[in-house]
Amino acid sequence: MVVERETEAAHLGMWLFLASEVFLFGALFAVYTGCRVEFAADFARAAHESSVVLGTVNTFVLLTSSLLAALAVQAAETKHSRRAGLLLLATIALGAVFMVLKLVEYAGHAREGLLPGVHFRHPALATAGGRAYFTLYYLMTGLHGLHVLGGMTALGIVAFAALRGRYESASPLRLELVTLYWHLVDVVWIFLWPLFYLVR
Amino acid sequence: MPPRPTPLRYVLAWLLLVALAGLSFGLSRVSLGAWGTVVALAIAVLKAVVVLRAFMHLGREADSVRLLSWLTLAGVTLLCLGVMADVGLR
Repeated sequence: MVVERETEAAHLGMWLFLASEVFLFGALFAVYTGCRVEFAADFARAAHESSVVLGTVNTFVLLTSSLLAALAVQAAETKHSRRAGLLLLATIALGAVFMVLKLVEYAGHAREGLLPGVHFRHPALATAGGRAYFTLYYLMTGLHGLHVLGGMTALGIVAFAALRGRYESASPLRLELVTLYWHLVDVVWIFLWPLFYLVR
Repeated sequence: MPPRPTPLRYVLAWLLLVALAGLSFGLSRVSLGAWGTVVALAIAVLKAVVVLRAFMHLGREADSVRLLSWLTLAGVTLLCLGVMADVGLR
């Protein structure tokens, strides 16, 4: 009974943290919404500069990483600790693939002069809307990228414990809470992908 | 509390997510005008629900967590609609 209450409290605490993260990104989505209404034509032109292929591949990478994270929790719950650890390592590897592809994309934008603030050097998009689009693009995808790195670090800690056999006897609560965070990172990307890559 | 999902259910949820992502990508290649944004966001909401239900087990959480989720969703929706109305009605 006490353990059940502690588990419930831990879950509530984690979901409160996730809610604060949703509001953090929600505020940026609200700014994006306002700018999109204000600069509709500029945003549509600027969106053509994003790499649909890289953005789409990254979507499938993150969706697959979420599957592996969920399977890791299931493995830990059935006391297959090392299997859970390997699944978490695969999840981290997909997170790394996501980050590498994101950096490739950023490098491409940098070559075209599509950089935020005073470094913006793309004459065709040098309008208030074009600049706003790329400032938001870097702010939102950059913040998301930092969350991916944070998630990979947290996953690494629980993966290490899992590979050492911790979840053969201990409760997988910590592992489960970390994967909740990872799934939220996936949910945020689920909204970033259409807004920056698909809608034109 | 409902039973834990089996690995097969996780895989089915992932297949659904992949199919929805494919649908979203396919529809983005078709000219839907202003509806393109609505359709893309509707599919994104559906995918988010699948992740929340299948991978994050929101349905298994306590009432307090589910209430918190609804309040968060309502708060962010109001935030976006409020900004949109402010800019759109100027």
